[in-house]
Amino acid sequence: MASAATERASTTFRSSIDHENGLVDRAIFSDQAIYKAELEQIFSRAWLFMCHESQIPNAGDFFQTYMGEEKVIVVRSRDRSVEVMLNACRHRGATVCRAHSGNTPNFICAYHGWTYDLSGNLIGVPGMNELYERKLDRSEWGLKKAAKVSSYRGFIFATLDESAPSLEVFLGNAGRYMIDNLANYGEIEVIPGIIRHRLRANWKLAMENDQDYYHVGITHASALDAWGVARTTVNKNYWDDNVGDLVLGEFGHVQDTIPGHFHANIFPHMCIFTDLLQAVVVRHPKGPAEVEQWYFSFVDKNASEVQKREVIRRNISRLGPTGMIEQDDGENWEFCTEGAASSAMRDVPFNYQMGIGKGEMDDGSAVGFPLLRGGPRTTEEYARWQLRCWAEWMDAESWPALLEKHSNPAVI
Amino acid sequence: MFLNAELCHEVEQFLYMEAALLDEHRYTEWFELFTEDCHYWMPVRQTRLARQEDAEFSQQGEIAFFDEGRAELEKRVRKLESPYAWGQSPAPRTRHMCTNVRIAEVHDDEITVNCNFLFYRCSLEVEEDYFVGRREDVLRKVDQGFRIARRTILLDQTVITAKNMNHFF
Repeated sequence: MASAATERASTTFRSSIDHENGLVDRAIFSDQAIYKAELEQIFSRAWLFMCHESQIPNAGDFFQTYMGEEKVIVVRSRDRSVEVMLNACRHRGATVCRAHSGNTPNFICAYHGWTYDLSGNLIGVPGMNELYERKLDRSEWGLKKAAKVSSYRGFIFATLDESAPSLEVFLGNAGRYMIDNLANYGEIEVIPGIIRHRLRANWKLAMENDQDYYHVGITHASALDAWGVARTTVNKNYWDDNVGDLVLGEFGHVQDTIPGHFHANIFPHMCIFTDLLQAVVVRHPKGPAEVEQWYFSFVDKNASEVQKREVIRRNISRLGPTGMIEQDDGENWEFCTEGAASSAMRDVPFNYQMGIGKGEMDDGSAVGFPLLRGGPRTTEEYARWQLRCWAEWMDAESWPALLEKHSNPAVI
Repeated sequence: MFLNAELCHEVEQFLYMEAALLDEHRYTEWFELFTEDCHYWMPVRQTRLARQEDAEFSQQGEIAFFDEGRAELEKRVRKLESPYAWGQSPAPRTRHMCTNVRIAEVHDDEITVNCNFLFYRCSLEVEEDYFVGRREDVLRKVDQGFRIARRTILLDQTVITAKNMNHFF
């Protein structure tokens, strides 16, 4: 018997998100059918952050990552271009690359030895003469590639969808501004040491937490205590004195602009921390109740040793499973994911009502993208906008349809 | 270098006592076992190709899970002991085990000790985590026994599967 959520999955996702009244169907954080649809409608379509140019400077350098649950290899090929290829042999599908990163002259399948060059061309097939009688056309059996690969200020993105618009259109002025905040630190490069960490949580709960100022004083109280930050500086255990601009971007990109703490999200799964931190977090979905977070730390390669040490110290003390801040976040998201799966409360929505109607939407003619001005910083407007856009991704039958029908933040 | 059974025994007993302090949540007492100039370090590990295995770990001065001097370590102790440390409320049941203890080097008053560890954590009802790896400690001999001058923690996982690592190793 199909669950209520599964039935909804076959109709419209817009009905799961009541943007105006701040009500969200909890099934979107737990239902298997909805998760499968997300892999198709979002992760197989969106431009996804792969890695930074500085991670693969030389021919043969590779970095393995994911597009949704698909394993892909990002490679610097012999002609210096960047290839994004599915890490799956065309013969039986086994992986041809078994390391997170490194350097290699080619990719060899450990099963029967099919061998591919750095551009994914099939260059070696054991038994080509005797077993295949030279009838196998190697040019047709190269590694499958991402549909499009593009880079913005050193940040490499790829999409699996041929009909996707350009990366520039996908990011929009707002998304480019978010990346600029990190890229403007200088000639930035990734500091060696990518932290990888799995949580039993839905990927969207991690996403929406990035701009959640409501939880800081409570969840992170022990870290504030340890650092000697007076709890009164976070007012009544949350920030309520910050008024300012919220960036609501097309397709679900959002950013806060609290001086000292910028948190941006390029939808669906790239979080950018700037101002205090210099980091990108990517959330690879691993099922409706599992996510793998990857942390990339960035520094200006021309920074002094003292400056570099300070960037590293700030990132290490806050981020990842040992970070004094993020230790406590994972705990919450796991329990929320459990709560989302409740069948007894299947028809009881989650409450996203904080800050509805606060602030004035500005068309952004001054900065190049729309802003919500003058509202409280502790608000759920970020999450309401992300989930409204999520529903649009989920309901759109194609990229052209999404381009045509998606909400314009300037006129919500 | 002449290793005597008595020194091996003293070192092992010290490591077991230290592990017991952690499992009994006596973090301030545990912290006092570290020297003023201590360094507590857990680099990040990646899965590498066989021929690039020497590049598995991040290096000193790069990103790490822990890269702590005494001051940073003390903040982590204060956090664990805060009444608002939700992950400690109620405290998980933990068991720090160290085995295969080998004295690698004795140099003046410093003893380099290698061991394997298994750290089990059971939280709330059925949440279980296992952390397995290797440790390299430099112990310094003092009047009352030993102090820990350096600890290097090398986890075997390259993707951490626990929701956090808010405890000490």
